[in-house]
Amino acid sequence: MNPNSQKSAIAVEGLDYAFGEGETAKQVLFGIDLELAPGEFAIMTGPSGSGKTTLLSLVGALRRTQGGRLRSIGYDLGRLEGSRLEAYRRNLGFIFQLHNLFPALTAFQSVQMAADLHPEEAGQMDDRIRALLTRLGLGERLDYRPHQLSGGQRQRVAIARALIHRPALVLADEPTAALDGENTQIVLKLLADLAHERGTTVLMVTQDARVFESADRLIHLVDGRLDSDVRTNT
Amino acid sequence: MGQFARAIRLSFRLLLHERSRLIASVGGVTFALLLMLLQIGFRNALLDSALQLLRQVDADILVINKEKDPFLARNAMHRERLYQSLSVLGVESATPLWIALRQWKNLEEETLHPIRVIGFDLDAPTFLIEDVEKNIDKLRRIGTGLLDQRSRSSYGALPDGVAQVNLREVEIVGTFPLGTDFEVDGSLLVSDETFFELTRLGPNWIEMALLKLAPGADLGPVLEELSRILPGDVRAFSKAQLIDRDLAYWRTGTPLSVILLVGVALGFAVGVVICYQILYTEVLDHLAEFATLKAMGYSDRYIEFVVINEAVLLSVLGFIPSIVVGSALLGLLGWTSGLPASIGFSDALNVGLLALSMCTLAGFLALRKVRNLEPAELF
Repeated sequence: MNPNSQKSAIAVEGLDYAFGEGETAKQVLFGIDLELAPGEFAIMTGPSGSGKTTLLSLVGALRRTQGGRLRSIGYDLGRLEGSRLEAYRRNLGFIFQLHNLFPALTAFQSVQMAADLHPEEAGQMDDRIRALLTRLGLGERLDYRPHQLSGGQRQRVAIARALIHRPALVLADEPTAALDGENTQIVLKLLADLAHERGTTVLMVTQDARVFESADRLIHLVDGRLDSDVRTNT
Repeated sequence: MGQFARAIRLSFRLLLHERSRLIASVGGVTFALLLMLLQIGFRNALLDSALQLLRQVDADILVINKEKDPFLARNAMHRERLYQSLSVLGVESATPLWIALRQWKNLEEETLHPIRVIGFDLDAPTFLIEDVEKNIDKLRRIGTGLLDQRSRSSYGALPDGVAQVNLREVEIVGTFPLGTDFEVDGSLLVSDETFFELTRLGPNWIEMALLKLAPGADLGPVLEELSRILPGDVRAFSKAQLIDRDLAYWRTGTPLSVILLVGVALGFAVGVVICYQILYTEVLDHLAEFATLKAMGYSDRYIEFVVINEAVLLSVLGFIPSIVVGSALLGLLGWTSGLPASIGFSDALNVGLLALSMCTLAGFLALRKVRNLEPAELF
């Protein structure tokens, strides 16, 4: 495996991570090796405490790497700071377990916050926001604020916010936990379309067995180590 | 739309979103600004009331006792100094002014209240007050006077127009606008003869000499000559010099002025605390959302700008009602007390700048929470 390979969307080599320092340090990742190709839809599973969310946050450059190497969509995350760190994050679509929407902003305005980071596409963004929210079943609720939306609707707004700029890499932490079966399928179809039609790489952490069959790969972590890595649709 | 314009738009949306919270926040800022505005208004009242008599005398130069500091302090000088001043080339006229503090009796409540009795030569130009000029002939009869129409209500009503000052009756034949100060409840203007009668003082000790320059005479050389020829017990000032000297005295030389300034500083400190609480709560409530913005690729600077802009907006929203309410309260105070309590454009501008500094400082203090924010905390 070559972590510098431009053919890989994500290339992880010997990745270690520990919380805390010295005697109180608790290591949660042990020498993870992983490579995802552009356009791959991977689901990461594992029991609680297996390190999957930590790995997701490291790939999302929300934490600094400690040991090992991590390259993602052309960025070496071990040396990422300042404006390059911000530029990298702008190329991601991060879906958090909690929607974290500003109570003051409507569904449209919340998605617009992500769109604003890509002024080069400003001319088409408003139409794209309406289209995406409509596809996610929120076409009638563009002007609704979070308190006027259900939990599932809020989560779909957060998903639209993560995808509106057609990111190179989508990192999702339990994105379907608050969704019913129908909306789960809509979201999965959206992610699969992004992966297969636009070459977006999707790395999703989930325990939701309903979604496993949508993935190209199932990655299983146990106790901070890669336990299995199975290709499903190849 | 640029990044900063978008940040301004977001801060507007965040601040204006919850109406009840906005009202409470603006109310807090307004309260702090009102504290400052009222102190400034009181200080203006102190300065203006102390200078209003001086501003209304018709003189280019004033000769006063050298111990007369401030102007309202009563330190008489011998009338001889007036004649000495007249001998200087360039001095066209010299007019004496007599001032004494006496007790006015409220005839309804049988209480005594201090009043400033001012005696002047009816045939010499002494005041720049139109109502005095109009009523001058009414004062020629001994035992008559003009009452300051802004005198406090403590003087009571005069059903038959006759007042009692220093146990003597004075017929009030008219009014003039001057205003009260922190020493007396009002002023009474009388002729020199009524003054001697009323106060039982003699004509030879005068409070000041009011000099007018001859046409074409230069102020500077005349002042220099007056300083040279007058004995050391008196000093000559131009009117502007004396106003400046008194302003400096009241601004820095009196505990009351300092106390009022401390009041402004306290208002500022209270405002910083109030604004900090508002903005800190605002930041705390949106911590997860701000962390999400950072995870999305927004810079720390953008988020800081949003918070600082909320602070600026808060200062503007608090400033407007504070000016309206402050002006109304000071107007009410002026109406009830006769003190010239008001705020001018420069005061409003200063309070605006204080509001901006107060909220911005609080904003920067509240930013510490944002600066330490790690998007990884979202997990």
